Amino acid sequence: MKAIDKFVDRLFKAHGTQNKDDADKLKEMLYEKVDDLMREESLSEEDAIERTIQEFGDEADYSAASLEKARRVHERVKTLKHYQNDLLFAGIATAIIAAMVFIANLVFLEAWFPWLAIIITLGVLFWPLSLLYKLLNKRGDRS
Amino acid sequence: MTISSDIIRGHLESVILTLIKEKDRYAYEIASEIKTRTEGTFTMKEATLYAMVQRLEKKGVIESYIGDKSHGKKRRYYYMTTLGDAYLETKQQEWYQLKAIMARFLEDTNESN
Repeated sequence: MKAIDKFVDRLFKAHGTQNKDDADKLKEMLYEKVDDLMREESLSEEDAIERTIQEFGDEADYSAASLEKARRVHERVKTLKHYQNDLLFAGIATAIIAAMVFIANLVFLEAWFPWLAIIITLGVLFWPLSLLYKLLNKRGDRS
Repeated sequence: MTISSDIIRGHLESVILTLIKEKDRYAYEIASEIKTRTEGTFTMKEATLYAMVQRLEKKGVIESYIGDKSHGKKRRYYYMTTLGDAYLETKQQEWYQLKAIMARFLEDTNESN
């Protein structure tokens, strides 16, 4: 039954899932079929294994029915990470722009209160804020 | 005429649960039974079936035990839980509703022709 073990291990490896219990149960199901084919259709073990693997179907069918949730979770984590990176980049960029504008305001305009810098900073702040809004929305969206 | 698995996809769980409700069955037995009862007009992909059985077990709708098969090796048999009975009943209600809706369209079309 090594061929069955290899087949199932490859199937689980291909989709990045490490659930040993699921893999063991799937192997068990396939062993049962091999045993049935050998007893009821008098196939040799080799032929029964070959037919079992052939009739199992596409690996994607198993994934679609079983690993769909795992894949969705993976996609969600990836998207959230992407949004977090966007937010971090926007935050740092906003801080740099604000610092530059404040310095420019104080040095070049020599104003006692940095009105211009505050207005520009408030405008730029909408960039990270909109990304924060998107991130929080995505976190709240569980579907 | 063979039935496309896309049409029946939403009801595969009900098919599996109905067969398990009749009696405790092992995975390949379910696949064979479907093939036999539909006289080959619908063959469920085994990959899909095995994955669904595992998923139903995780949901707590079915549970399993290792049992003996006459003249054969041991098998993992699946049986319905109380939750499974309720789940199947809900699925049946869904099916009756769907059937009634489809009948309104398709059967009326046939009559008008």
